[in-house]
Amino acid sequence: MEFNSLFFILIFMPLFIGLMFFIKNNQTRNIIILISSIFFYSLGDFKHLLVLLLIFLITYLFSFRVKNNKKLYILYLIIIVSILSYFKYGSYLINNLKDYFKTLDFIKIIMPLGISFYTFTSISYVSDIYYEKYEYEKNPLNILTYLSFFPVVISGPLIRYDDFKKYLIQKNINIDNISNGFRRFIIGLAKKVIIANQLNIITTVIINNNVKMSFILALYGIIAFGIQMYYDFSGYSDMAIGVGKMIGFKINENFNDPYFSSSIREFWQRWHISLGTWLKDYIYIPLGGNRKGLFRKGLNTLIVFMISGLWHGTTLNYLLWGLINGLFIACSHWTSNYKKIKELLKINEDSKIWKAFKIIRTSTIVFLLWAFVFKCTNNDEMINLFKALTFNGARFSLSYIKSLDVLYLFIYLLIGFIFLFPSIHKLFKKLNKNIYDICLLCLLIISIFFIVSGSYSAFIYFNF
Amino acid sequence: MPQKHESQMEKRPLKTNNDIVLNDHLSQEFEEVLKDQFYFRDNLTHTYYQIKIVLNRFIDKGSNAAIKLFYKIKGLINGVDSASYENINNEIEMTYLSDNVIEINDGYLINEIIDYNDEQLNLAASRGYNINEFDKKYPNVKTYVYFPTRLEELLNNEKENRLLCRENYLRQLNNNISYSYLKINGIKDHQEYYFKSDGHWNAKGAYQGYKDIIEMINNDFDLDQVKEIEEEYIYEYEFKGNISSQIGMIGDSDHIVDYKLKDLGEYDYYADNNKTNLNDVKNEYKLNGNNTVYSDYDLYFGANYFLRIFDFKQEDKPNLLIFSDSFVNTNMSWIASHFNKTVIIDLRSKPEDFNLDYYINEYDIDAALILMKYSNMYFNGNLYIPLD
Repeated sequence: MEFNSLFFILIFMPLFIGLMFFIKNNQTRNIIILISSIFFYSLGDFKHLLVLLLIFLITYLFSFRVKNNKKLYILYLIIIVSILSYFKYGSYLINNLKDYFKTLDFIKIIMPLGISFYTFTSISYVSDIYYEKYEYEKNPLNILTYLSFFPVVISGPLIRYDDFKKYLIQKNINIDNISNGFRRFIIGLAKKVIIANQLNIITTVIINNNVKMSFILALYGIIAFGIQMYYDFSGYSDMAIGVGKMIGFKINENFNDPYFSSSIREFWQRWHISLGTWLKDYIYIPLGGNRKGLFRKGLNTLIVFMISGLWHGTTLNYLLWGLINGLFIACSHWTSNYKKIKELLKINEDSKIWKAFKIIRTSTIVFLLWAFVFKCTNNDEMINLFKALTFNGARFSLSYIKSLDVLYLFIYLLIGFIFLFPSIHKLFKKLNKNIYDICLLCLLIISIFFIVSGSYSAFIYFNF
Repeated sequence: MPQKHESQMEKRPLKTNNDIVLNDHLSQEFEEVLKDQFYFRDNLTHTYYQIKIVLNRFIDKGSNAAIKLFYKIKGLINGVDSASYENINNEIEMTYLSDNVIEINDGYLINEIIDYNDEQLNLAASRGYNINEFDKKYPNVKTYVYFPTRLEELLNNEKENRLLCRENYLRQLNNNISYSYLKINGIKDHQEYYFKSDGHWNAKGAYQGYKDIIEMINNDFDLDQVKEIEEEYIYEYEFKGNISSQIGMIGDSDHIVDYKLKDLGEYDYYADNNKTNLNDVKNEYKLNGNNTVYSDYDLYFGANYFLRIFDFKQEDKPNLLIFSDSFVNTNMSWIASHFNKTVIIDLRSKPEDFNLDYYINEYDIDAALILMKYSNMYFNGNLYIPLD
């Protein structure tokens, strides 16, 4: 089930929040959360619930004895990473190997929704016990609730168990929290449905439909995809945070205006923050972090980003994407003469132009990498995009662009771009509370309007 | 929630509670039902398309003005008359309302302009080859092809490609096969022969097609002269066709007119082997009150049966076989009135055990006519005449 489905907005969420509000007993509330989470997850595909239960079982059993037991901890990591790899990369490997081994044709692996998130959640829990950050949880239902917690099970943000547990013990569910959470949910829904989904039409037509791509068209597609990525993912995080807030859980922020970062390093501190801190705490620091010299610091960064790349996607280009991101950051560690060059060029670090340049430079790198790695689905699309960007693509033709039916969507790109600016958000927050709420109500109605009208499909009977 | 079964606007059955089955896609099915049954759904989608079309028109006007300004400035700099650009687009004004719907002059809607690729050109050639093979297999049957040209076929992003598919198709035909086409020389002809918002030809277009076909066949057979129009009557005043249904029923409506021809004659009519009355068939959906998932074109000109037979009982006249799509619905009785028996086969709904020899022999076919919209004529790979 998705947050931006009518079923969730009109049926599941009101029922769930209503129950949580009217039932005051904390234990009963926890059971409602667990049942709702299992129901939410199994509606996607019932079979995948078994994988979630398997991860739960492994997590629960290992947590008892893993404290200070390195062998057991390694065994746990091998098992959990193997399960994740099997579902995540199995299908990719089979597709590549089935030409050589015909028997593989019969094996079909479908990746369970959210497996990357709940395995990482499991790792964080078991690792924290191994490193003695807190004691293991005796109540299996609490662990199952933690792993399957429906606001975050599909797309995060990643939560630590010590943060989560305090809300299992005590939740503050009141009208204020519900209304604030619902406000946040509406913002997330609008981000996803009004902006991201509309921009997805642009990017799919331009990048995935083998069009005659000119430089301008490629630029339009790349910018649209960069903005789509932000609104899609941050919209989902907003909805998760909003639902969490409604039931008294404080879920940490996952984005902090990432497109205003002045370097790739800063970008990764402001984009998908929960994953960044997870990678830092459970991979970068155990590898030695920045404690073992400049070279190891850079190398550790590279390793972390390569793992991040593999976590994001199954193909080699994701690995390459992680490597490039890692290289940018590692190079920033390694280049000590950079300051001297700036002095030589008389660059004023505090000038607005320099700051703007750095932001544009960072966003350009990020947008290009997003488009090539996350949107292009095959080599032909990458080549087509590359050719257009290097002025070797098709000739610019306005009538051709019009025929693609993506120009009218520029308005959504513009709205998306304007609302990236934090100052616009501040402006809205300064509004009178009632006017602000009316604006949000309108946003909710418009979002539902987009969801319903998106299902329009005329029966094209004359072309058969 | 009240359950609606069909969408008048989309011409498709809507998902209802009965469609929900307990399986892996339960949430998806439930979501589809919620969306299809949502209150004011038609109004919401109509509004969505209206907004989209307003934006498209705005962009179109803005970009056209910008281009004109660009050429004007360029003309001033180079000392060239800027009117040379305007002349190119003088006749046809085009606004993309969606990726496959274009509004042209006076609110007429056409489908996307074909930018032929090799695959399409090869498919067109292969379809032509199939007709040629048919002609070779049945040497006693004289073969004719008629192209009901639409404006989309004439327009093209690459001008030199105009009618290239037709040329590729015709190149496969031997000299025995005669062909003719509806002459569309510009926007005015298109507006005269086609509905504003539908892909089919109107009565005038169908009548012109009928005239062209009879004149073409008359070169080889002794048929009656083309029959004149005796009466014209309007079926529907607010007709919005299948192109406008692709954009939320946006666009102007127009009339559905039909003609009654002079001395058409008496005949028996069979639809899928059931003897019936053509006028009844034309009105069957209306009479049954079950018209919502069909287009108004189907409503007034008849549904698409696999097999339709006209028997005018004129033993001295030849027998005709027509391979067609819904284009023939408007003028089939007019064409058939010049023959003894006319067998109309819609290959889109042919049964698996279809045996062409049976129809050729059983009805003693003398002539065969292929009449289809360009998309079916060239690009529909499912409409080869089975010759094995």
